[in-house]
Amino acid sequence: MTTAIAPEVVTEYADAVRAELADLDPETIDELASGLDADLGEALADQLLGQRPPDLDAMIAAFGTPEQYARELRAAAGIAAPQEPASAPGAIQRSWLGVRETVARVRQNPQRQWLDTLIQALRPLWWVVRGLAIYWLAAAVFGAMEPGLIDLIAALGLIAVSVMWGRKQFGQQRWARRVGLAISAITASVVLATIWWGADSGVLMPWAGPQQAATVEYPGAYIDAYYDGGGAPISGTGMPIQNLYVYGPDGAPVPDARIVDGMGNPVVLSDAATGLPWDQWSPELDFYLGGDVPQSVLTNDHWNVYPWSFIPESQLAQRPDGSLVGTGSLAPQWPFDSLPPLPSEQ
Amino acid sequence: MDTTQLLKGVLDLAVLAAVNAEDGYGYDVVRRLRSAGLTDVGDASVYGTLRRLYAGGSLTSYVVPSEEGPHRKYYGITPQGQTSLLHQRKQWSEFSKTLTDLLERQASR
Repeated sequence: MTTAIAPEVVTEYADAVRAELADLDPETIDELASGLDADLGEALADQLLGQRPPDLDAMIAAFGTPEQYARELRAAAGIAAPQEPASAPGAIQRSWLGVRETVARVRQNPQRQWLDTLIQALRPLWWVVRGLAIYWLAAAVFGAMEPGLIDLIAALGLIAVSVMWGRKQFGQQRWARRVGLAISAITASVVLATIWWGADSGVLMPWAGPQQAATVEYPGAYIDAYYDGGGAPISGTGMPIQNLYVYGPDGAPVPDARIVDGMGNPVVLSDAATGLPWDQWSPELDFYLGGDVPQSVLTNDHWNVYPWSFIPESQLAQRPDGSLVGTGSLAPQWPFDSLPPLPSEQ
Repeated sequence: MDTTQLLKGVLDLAVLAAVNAEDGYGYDVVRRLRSAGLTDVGDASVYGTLRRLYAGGSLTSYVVPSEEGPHRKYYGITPQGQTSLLHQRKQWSEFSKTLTDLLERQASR
């Protein structure tokens, strides 16, 4: 007789089978499933002799999902299937176990063993990525500043914890493994989303996050605009800003005003069509031909000198060396000839 | 041929015969049936059948404590089960003879 084994995974599977029988009276459940743990443990020991310690996937590959097992048990015992529709959590659990069954069967297929080997080989890399992704998330939530020594230590620490967790060096219990699985799922989603969106979102790179509202070199001037460091800045009305007009404290227009942000970087407006700052614009990038482009594209300097003059794109031509020439400059149209002067402080 | 379908019709008989030979617990009966050649028999099918035969009075059960693991629920055959086994064995003999004769007649044509 084979010595019965009753590892945790057998109990987990047997509990799931008992949950599928929950509509029956306790006595019937006891009759049907009282010896289940011992029987499953022994059957597993027979089938997986000499193999690695059984996990839930191995159980599902050997015996089917707990739902299938319970259905077979009921049918053979002459007990009708439950009439009531399954509860939502039960349905979710069954769907999850169904996925695991498919995965387990694929993994048990000898021709797919290379896939298992590949997954095993890539796991350490995933542990590192997971640690880094958790750091990113934490930094986004708690608001990281410029990358510094503390951030570096935190990132390395989280990577170390992630790797140790992956190597099961904390002796995780079942509940802890489930929490770990949930965290892994979230971080995997974040990593996938990061790859999908090209990692250029401010949320995922907190140190490149929102910059301060634009300020103006000219004393006393004021712009009602928000510059978020990416995409076209928008005004208070939600429309992309196409040009900036500076008025001095006396209310008179200030031509050729240079504008920088709180970090001292030149403020360059973006092309609403491509979403890119105009200083990165090129004719090849612009799929909306026929619009107006800032005159600075000709010289590629003085990008933060406002208001801009524009050139109709139809008037642009490219020399053989790639540089641009254009005619027909459109002078900026000031929205107001002047504004009321600011009240004097003295 | 899908032997699982064939098994369904004769599982009661097979389980009764296995327990009649010697009392056994759930997986013990599964193992005996498999080593007898019924390799496709499902664990849950056997456990369910044991429960149904027990509920119908053909089997009795008792718990045997184990020092190594969980206690074992053993099944033994009752006089009613033995009568049922006798009856079903006769039925099977007649049925299998009829089918064998039919198949041999078809083959010899």
